[in-house]
Amino acid sequence: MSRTFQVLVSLKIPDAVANTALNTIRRRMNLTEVASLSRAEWWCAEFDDACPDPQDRLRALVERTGLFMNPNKHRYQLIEGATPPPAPAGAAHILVVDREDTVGAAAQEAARAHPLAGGALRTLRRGVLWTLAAQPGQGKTSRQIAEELAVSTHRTAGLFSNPHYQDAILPP
Amino acid sequence: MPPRVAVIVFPGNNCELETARAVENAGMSAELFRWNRDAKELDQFDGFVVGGGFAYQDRVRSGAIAAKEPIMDGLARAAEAGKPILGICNGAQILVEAALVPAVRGSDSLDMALAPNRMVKNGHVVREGYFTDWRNLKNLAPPGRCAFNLDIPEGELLPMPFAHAEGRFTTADAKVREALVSGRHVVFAYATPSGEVHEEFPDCPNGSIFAAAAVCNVPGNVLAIMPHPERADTLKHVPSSFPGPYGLARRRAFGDPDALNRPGPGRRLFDSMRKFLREN
Repeated sequence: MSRTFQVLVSLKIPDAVANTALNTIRRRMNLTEVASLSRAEWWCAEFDDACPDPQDRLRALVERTGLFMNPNKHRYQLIEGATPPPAPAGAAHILVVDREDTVGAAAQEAARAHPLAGGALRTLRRGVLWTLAAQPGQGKTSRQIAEELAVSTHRTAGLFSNPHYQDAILPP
Repeated sequence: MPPRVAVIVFPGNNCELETARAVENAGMSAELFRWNRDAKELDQFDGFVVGGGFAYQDRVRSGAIAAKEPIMDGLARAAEAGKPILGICNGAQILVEAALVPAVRGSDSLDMALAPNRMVKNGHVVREGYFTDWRNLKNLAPPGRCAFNLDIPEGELLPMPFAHAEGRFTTADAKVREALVSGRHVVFAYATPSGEVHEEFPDCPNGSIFAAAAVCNVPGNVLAIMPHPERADTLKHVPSSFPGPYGLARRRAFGDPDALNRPGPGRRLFDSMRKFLREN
């Protein structure tokens, strides 16, 4: 048995990656109804069920190791469970994960070896959680646009993941 | 008139000057062509090189944003017209993300990825992420399979440097994988000094399928190559310690500026491009 938590790390400062993606979606892919796009680094940590304080341990790892964030420019949110929280009203999430999660594997190795983990951290996975919102009443819903953009299929369609090494998940 | 080659420059590219120099050293005329010019102006050019660097800072995914730029429609038209297009490193990532390589399922099908490096040895991941070094590239295809290996005998080894974090050619499509073999799309593969090709690290520095270093499209006029031929353009670029004939020639050229400026292994690809343009 285990307990799973997610950590969402986002920038306090303007996110140039999300702004560039939004610009491409609106100006190059002609989806002008997309009103906003934001991005968070998504971490999913699985702890031994026997660990009495997994949330405190994860919080300490996030705040004190520098593995997940730099507090000068990032903020984070810790959530219990393995499924991303529901998107804000009128928005849709797209979670992109690498099938061979090399960044997550490296972080897992470092975090598991850290004394703050207390030997209780089992696995750590990484992904990117995009949150997209369309202007209401402009035709397509946020969910429909998110489905359209989740997987790149050719030069002009899809953006957020390359299906040859990534999975795109649209949480309910 | 020498053939006119446009060296495409996206914001974040950083290899355009040496790429243009390599094009000119091979007897072609090079012009830097910025991404925000009208794509129709590409029609004036005979061939194209998309150089290395970090287009759009690799935002979202290497090559993903640049692949959506209008200029890529112009390059897609040029590819369909049979004009030669060479994508080097980040340029290769852009061509793959733009579905111009290998395009075995059609010109608008994203058939592959250049995924993050994942170096495997004896079944274990031993390293990941950015890596730079020199390796031999073995020409796996018959001369003329693509516009960039016309006079390079099958099996010849060309030393070349690479420097990338996302250089692992991969596909999740079994039919594409089959087609890469049956269609001889893997023009160059990483090889040992004796010419053996293995998918494992360190012989293959990034975990590419078939140890692929360069993959071409179906007709062979578009090539995506991760190593940098423009950084191996003259003999002086080759490390003197490198085994094989190019390393030996480099050692013999020591102290002789003329000899050091003789063509290096990377020039062979640009010479081939020039020959292709003259013959087609």
